[in-house]
Amino acid sequence: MLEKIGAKIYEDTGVTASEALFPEPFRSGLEYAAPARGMWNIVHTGMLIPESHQIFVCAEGCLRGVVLTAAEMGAIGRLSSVAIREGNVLDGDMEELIIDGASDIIGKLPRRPRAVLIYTSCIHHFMACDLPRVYAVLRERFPDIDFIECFMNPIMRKSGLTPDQLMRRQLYAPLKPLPRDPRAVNIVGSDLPTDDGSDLCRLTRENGFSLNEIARMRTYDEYLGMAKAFLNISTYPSARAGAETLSKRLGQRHIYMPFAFDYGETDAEYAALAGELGVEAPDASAGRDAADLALDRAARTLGGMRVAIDYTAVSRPVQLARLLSEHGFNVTDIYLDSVSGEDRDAFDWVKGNLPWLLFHPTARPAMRVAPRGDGTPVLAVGQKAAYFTGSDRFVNIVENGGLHGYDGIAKLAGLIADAAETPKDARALIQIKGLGCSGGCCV
Amino acid sequence: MIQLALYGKGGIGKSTTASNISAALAAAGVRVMQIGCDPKADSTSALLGGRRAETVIDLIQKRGRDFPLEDMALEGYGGVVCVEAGGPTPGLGCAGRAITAALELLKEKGAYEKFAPDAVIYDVLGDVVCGGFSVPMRAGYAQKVFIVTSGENMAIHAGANIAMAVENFRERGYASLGGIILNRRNVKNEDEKVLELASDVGTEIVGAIDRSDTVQDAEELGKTVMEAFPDSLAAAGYRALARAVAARCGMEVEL
Amino acid sequence: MRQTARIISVYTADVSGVASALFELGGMVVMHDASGCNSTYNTHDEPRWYDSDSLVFISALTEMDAMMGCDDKLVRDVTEAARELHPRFVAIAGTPIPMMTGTDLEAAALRVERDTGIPSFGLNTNSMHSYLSGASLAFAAIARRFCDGRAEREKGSGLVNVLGMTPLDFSVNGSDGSIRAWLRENGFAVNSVWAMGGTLDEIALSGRADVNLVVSYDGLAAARYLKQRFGTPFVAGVPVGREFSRRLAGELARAAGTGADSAACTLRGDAPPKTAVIGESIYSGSLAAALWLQEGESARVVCPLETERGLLSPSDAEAMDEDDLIPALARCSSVIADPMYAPVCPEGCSFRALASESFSGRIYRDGIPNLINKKIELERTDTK
Repeated sequence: MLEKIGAKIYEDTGVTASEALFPEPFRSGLEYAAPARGMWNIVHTGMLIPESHQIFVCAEGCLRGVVLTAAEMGAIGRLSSVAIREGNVLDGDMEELIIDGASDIIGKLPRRPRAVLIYTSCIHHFMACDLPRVYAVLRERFPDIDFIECFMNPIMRKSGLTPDQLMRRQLYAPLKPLPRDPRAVNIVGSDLPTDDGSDLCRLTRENGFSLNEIARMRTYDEYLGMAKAFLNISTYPSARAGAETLSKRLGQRHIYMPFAFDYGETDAEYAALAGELGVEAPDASAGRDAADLALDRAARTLGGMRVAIDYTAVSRPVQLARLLSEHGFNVTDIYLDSVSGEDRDAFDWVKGNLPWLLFHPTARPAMRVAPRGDGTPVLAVGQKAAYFTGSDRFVNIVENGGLHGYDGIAKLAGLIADAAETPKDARALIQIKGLGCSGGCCV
Repeated sequence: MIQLALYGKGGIGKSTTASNISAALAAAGVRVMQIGCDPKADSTSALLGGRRAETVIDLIQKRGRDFPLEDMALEGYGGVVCVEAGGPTPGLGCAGRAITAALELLKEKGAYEKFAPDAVIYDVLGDVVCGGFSVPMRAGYAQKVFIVTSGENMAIHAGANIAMAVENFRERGYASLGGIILNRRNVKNEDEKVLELASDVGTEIVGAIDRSDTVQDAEELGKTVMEAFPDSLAAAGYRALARAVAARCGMEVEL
Repeated sequence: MRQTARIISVYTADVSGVASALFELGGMVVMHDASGCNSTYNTHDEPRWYDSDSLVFISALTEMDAMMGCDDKLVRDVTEAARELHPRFVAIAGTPIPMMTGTDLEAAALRVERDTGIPSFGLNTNSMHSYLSGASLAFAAIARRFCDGRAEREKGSGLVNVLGMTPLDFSVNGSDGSIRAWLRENGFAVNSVWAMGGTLDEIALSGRADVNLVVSYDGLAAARYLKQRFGTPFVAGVPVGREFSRRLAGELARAAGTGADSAACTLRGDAPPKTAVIGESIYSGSLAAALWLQEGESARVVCPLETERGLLSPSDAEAMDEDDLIPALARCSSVIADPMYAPVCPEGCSFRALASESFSGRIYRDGIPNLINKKIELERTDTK
């Protein structure tokens, strides 16, 4: 019989801010995966390239998650697979398997894709598979297709760029140099489209610049056209490295503008953007006031309700905690497994100013059995925070939700206020993979 | 820049041969980088006079990937840049992956540009058993493979195996066979047997090193023959070999 | 081409099969693989995940650990978790990289057991076989470690163990409860169900059973072990459809009496089959048998998973890959299969969807019917 293990307190399920260490407040070891699945995976991200097809080459167990991701987003017709079996490992015909398998699949597709993303796996690294040769053969065989070298290699997550960073870099590999358009700007490396109302979108568009990002590209040619932009903006931390590489390759400018919860940083970012655009730096006071107003209003709505934040909702959970706390919110818990460099300053502030705030891991084994919520109402920002607190009052966003700037802060405050007033079915919502991916997700 | 790889049966004298070729070339003014591709990490020990290079894998384990390129290499006798790939202890893990990871990191950190060698010598461990061990002979790495062998059957058999691998990889644009280096053990009909191997695999003996106590003596001193006994017959033999090997790779050197 | 699939799904892999088989038994399953690889199982292969506390973790293997053979780290991490969470047993399941580097999981498990006193075992799964292999290894390991000599076969008792019961084959639609009810209605008593709705303690006494019912291929290895250890005969079949359920009950009684095993799932009609049932062999075979008895519909099993010839009838076929499947279905006018097989069915053929969590995961979960001891009525659609 299944039984809930009782209300025993387990070690390593929480540490006070005063005791927490940067950057890893918790031991590493075995890991648990909570059923919050809203963050995008490499299938979701890869599907952003219009008119593309994905081919995964890996063991069947590894294929399962990606095949069903595609199926759940209604895109099973855009993903095919080549299963590696034991015989291939023993025979060492890994390169032929990719070449022949990909060729076979391409031949069977009802329509020729403009791009094929081939995802090789951990085992290809260990077998020293000669991937450059594989791609050279495929490119010669199918000169009309752009082959994109992608990776499903989580074993390499501590070996250079993480799989997430790699994916966001490779996503733009087919872009080739084009004549420069001095009025064209891109946002690169984000999964979700940046909110039209954000300061970022308004500043660029209102000054006569076109603003493109992959989530809005409807055709392959439109997507290739991103190469003409003079400036690339990246806003998501793991997008930065890829954006830098792309910009260098195509001779574009690049500016990194993360979604910050610090007003000074926000002002500096937008001043820098204005500089790149050659326009006057925006007057931030109206935006700032609106953000403050929204935050204060939300704080009043919550009226002291505990707030828990996780790293899946926003990329700077600790900085958000600081901002909210400074506006009178009762932030008591942050769910993360490590503290990013961008959150360092906020972490030090929280240690000093909110010493009793609890940091919780999401992946430590004890989190599997630790009690989820103690009955006190909690406003959770993020799916993992919702799950671990057992709360039905939560802000259901991932990866910053497309928000940016003061407008983003104001909107986030609005979402917090709405969440406090309207319960949601966490169980139904957080298990949907790839929140906001195209085609919707059916579960 | 020429790049060559030495393969051959374990214990046949690849590292001794590689180190002495490196030292001989270095003495003639060639800038050499010798890369040991063996978890034992002892390829360059004779060039380092007792010092031990921290292996690339050790460095990654201790410091992630964020360490200066210079930490991966020690300058040995004659200015030879010495690098050891490293790998797991016997019976564990995956040495093939270790070689691959080490060579990838060298490339990623720009070792070839930074150290700007004129000649790179890869000294690859004994029995090539999986994909990782063929990385040194791939496009972008060695252009020529030299097989070190004696007249002993096991060594010849291993040599034939390696030659077959090289032949299998021909259409991939991997390294071609540069020749056979005969490391004499004075077994019966040694020269004839190795000549036969050469003929069978479509190559030639590019040079031979006589068995001599000088080589042993130098080893006892922890040095190459070139350093310990530069005027010996053995040293002359290595010079001739180095010249021949370099010539096979398209580099004419006065030695 | 072999091993490629343009459009169909892929079955749950062996590692997930281990976790699914052991999920309710109070143990801890560790998948020895890179971080995040466990979420495929949690999301798509385990409908019980959200509401339970069952301990299934990933070792978060990194390139360096694998390359250097850091088995000590694995042992340390597993031991630490086991000491904190007190599982009844520990199972460590392998995946492609540990397989490649020859990691000795049995040795690692031995060390964990020595350090914690908790029964531990390693399972040489490698993500390249289906869930049936993994679950089979897991059930067999449980049999060896826990079905001890305290029990003795109680002939004539009508006690039955049901072997091979996981949501991957049966979903969470009450099928396990229905099988228990059907057994009781037919004069049997349930000793244990491996492994839904029961406990490890019940399973430990499996030696008492008069006869065993194997409802999936992954229960067969455990059944053979119990036969060898306690002399318990077994019958392979799932009680689907009213007529076949009756027949199966008779087979069970006969096996209990004679001590001879039987594969009831191989019963077929004598007319040439026009219907293909795609899926795991014992369930699909039982369905084919049930259709014959219910309405004289002649069906053959097309099995894309591991099985044995003894579980298939001569008209059945094995088809591991998409390219084998398409010709095997060519002359069918009707197919019963998971909806994700629809794209490879011949044009104009009538399709009856019967989803399996092992293939389509949670996508069609709500519609998976409980056919245990019920008339089989599946809606037909035409494939375009």
